[in-house]
Amino acid sequence: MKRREFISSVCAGISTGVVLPKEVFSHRTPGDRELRLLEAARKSGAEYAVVRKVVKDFESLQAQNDSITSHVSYHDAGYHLIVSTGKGIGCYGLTESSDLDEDTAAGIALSMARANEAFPFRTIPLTSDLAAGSHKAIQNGEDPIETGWDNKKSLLLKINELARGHEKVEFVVSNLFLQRETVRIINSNGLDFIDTRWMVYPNFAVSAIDRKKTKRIMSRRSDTSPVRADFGFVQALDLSKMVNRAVRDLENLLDSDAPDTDRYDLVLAGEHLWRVVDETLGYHLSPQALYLLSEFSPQSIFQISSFKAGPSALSKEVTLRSEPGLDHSLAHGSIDDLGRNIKPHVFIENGEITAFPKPGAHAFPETPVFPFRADGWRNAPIPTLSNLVLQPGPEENTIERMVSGINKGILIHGSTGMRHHHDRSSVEVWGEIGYLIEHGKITKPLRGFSYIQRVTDFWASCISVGNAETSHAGGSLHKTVGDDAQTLPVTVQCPAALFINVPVRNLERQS
Amino acid sequence: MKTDIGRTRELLKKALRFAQGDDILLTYQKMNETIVRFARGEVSTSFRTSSAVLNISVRAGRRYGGYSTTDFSDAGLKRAMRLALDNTQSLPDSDAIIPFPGNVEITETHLFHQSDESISQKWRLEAVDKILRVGRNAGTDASGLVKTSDGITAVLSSNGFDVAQPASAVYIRVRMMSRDGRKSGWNESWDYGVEAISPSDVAMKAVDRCFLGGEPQRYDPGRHDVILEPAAVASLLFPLMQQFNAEAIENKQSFLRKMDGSSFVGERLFKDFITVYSDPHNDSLPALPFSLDGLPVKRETWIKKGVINKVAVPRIFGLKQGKSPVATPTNIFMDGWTFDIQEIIAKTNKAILVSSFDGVRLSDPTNCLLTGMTRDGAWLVEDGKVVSAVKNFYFSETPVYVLEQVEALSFSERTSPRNSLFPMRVPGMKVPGFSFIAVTDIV
Repeated sequence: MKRREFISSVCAGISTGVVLPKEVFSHRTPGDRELRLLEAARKSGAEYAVVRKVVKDFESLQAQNDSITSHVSYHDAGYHLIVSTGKGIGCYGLTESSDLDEDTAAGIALSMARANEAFPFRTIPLTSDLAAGSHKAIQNGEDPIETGWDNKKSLLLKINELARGHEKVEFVVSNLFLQRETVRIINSNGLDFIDTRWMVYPNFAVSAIDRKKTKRIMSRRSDTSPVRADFGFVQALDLSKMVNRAVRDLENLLDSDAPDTDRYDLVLAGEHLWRVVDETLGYHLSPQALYLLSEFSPQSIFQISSFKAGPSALSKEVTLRSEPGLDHSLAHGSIDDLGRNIKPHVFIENGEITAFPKPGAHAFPETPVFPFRADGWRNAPIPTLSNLVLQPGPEENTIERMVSGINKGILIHGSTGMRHHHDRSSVEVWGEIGYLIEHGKITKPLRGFSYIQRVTDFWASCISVGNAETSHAGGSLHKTVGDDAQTLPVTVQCPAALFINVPVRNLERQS
Repeated sequence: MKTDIGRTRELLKKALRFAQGDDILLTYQKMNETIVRFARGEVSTSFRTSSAVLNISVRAGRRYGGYSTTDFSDAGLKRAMRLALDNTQSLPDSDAIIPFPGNVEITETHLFHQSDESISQKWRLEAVDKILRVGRNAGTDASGLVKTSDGITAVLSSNGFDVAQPASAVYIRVRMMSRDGRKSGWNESWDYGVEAISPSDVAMKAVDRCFLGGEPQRYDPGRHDVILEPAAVASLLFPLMQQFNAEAIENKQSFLRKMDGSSFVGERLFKDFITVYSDPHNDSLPALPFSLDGLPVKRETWIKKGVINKVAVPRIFGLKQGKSPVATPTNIFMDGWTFDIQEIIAKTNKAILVSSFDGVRLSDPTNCLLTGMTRDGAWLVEDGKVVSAVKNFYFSETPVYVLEQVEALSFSERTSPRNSLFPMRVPGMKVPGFSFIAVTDIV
């Protein structure tokens, strides 16, 4: 058999007997090292093999006031080969410039798989839901990495210029993170998945010194989050509107007070709440916490509390699902890094936990609830969450409507600071800026406060979730999962929501 | 490994040939590592990685730029060099032109003992198996990792700086948790090869710590006398030594800066039996003999009999200020006394014994105030004996106070700050009035 034919037959899925049409492989060349790795794995006798090639180009820029102060860029690429003998799994990541031949690389992975057979693994179900066929997703628009330097520079300086046009703004720092990641996943089941993912993340902070009262620096950060999009997405942003909003809040902060320590009804805007969702529900639903896969992390509240049985302790307003195929989302599509199909999954429906997987050594169900993902080519994929979506409420649930029904409350905007109790069963959250609500109306700006509550009580106190219009797609580039601190960012799509009777502390009086 | 070093040098010389700009500095780091992780008494992940990255720094006129790449093909290197040069144009002019380092004679240290490839997966898995068995037999769940690695660090400049150093390491970390989740013990060990590593011993020590003193009791926070085991001392000493830096002093980021802007260098701050030094060529604890900004790392005494003797001077900062550069240490030694830590315990009326700190963070650089918590081993010592395990404490304390007040030292042991691999040989300590600010139920 000639080399090309052999590669085709390997990738067409010998193990399933499914032969894919030739045009599926039209973009392949024998020079593709990932194909040679798969071929070598197949020849070595692996029952299943998956090769992931990741090519990442990254660039970050920072501007302070009227000049560029930092510019960092890098290129990082390599291959990750996973082979299964049916009883053991071996993983080997090698840099694109490794001078190892493919047979040796496959031999290393296979020898690890064979050695691993003798030891109890948390079995990864590599025999179910294997993906096949050709999938190619290439983003349209302007590649952020290839965008001209002048465009990137002028974008940052434009933000700073807009902000510094306001009298009270004393400092402004803007950042632009850009990434192009091309991932190709091929498996011995005939999968050829290519996804080019562009990521853009512009953000800024405006600051001023509160000379009248605290003598401290007050800041308001932009409400932007990283998204999968082209550079045109950034250029289409209404910078003026974003800057004006941040500056307005900053000016209000300079003329604000801390609220009395008391209980308040809280209307939390989507750009604030997404991180609370991520940290208080996402963390506890992550397999690292559910199965204690992490060396030092506390156990999930869903394992140690009454969530396992009995009536729901969460508000019936709460429906939370994982959604791999979300538009512009950070966690990628429907194929995971093991070459398996991933489906959406509802974790909490109307306040009740659904399909809660059993704990234990071989806990992962045949139908993957958790995708296995890896940070780049170096790391082995680990079970993680996909994007999270808090289901929006009915159309009439606008922020204004929620505010109008409150006698004593706070509307909280802006980014979030957070401190967990040691076992993450309770949480303290700082809002960047709040607005006091009295008798259905916003009366004055607030600062220097936090709300603190048990996670279960907090989510039981949610009586209303905002409509889709109030939704914000948040996401962090630096979210880390597991002991090896892999960065596996997800998007958390989150509407505004109303929580009643939440304890709020005045931090300025306390300090 | 010699072949690898030869290839590394060829690669760097080829990259230098493609370089554009007035001045070039290339830093290359290659690493092979194999990790087996385990959690809840089972193996959870096992993988091997071979990685290499080339960092390029370029000076063009008064501007500096950089780029990193893993693509070492001719086209990839040429592209990386072009992008590094492009990046010089994005930043403003530097206020001074500092040339990259020139030819310096540096002696290789004995950091490389065996390649990662020469250690079989069977050895790693048997090591894990021994640890898991110790855990199972004791009724505990083990979590942690076994990691073996080798690598090369090399630096080449257009001015003639040319060094390459191979290294290898074996690292084992074990945390034992009692089945009821109320007690835990921790231990770690590392070396340059597998010969002297005993996974069972590492695991047994973690089990001992897990069960020592029985059920952890609540003990009120406050200022208490403490006996710190060497790993706990390492976690306090590491951030302290990072502040022995002239640039940090200049930027108000070091406790060594006085209110008037001068420094404490030359003044006695600590007990006269405190001497801290570094020496990459010390055979008992070899370390990298050069810094990545192109300075030879020599034997330096940072604290001499309680007196602040020397601080590191980063190369660019030093040349701008007209000071001779001094590399930051790549290992740390603190001489101890001849006591075993058990002898210190036996001579103590009342104290908290701490095996390690976790989550140590710098809270205030101006006095090196650290916060963190005790983890996996804190006990009450009374009348010369451990009488009870105690619940973990949060602490807020500065190592400056610790070295001012320390009363006794044990002999020095090889260790490193928790969850990292920075070579240190430091003693345990008895310190009066250490500040614990809160008790926590976290295990």
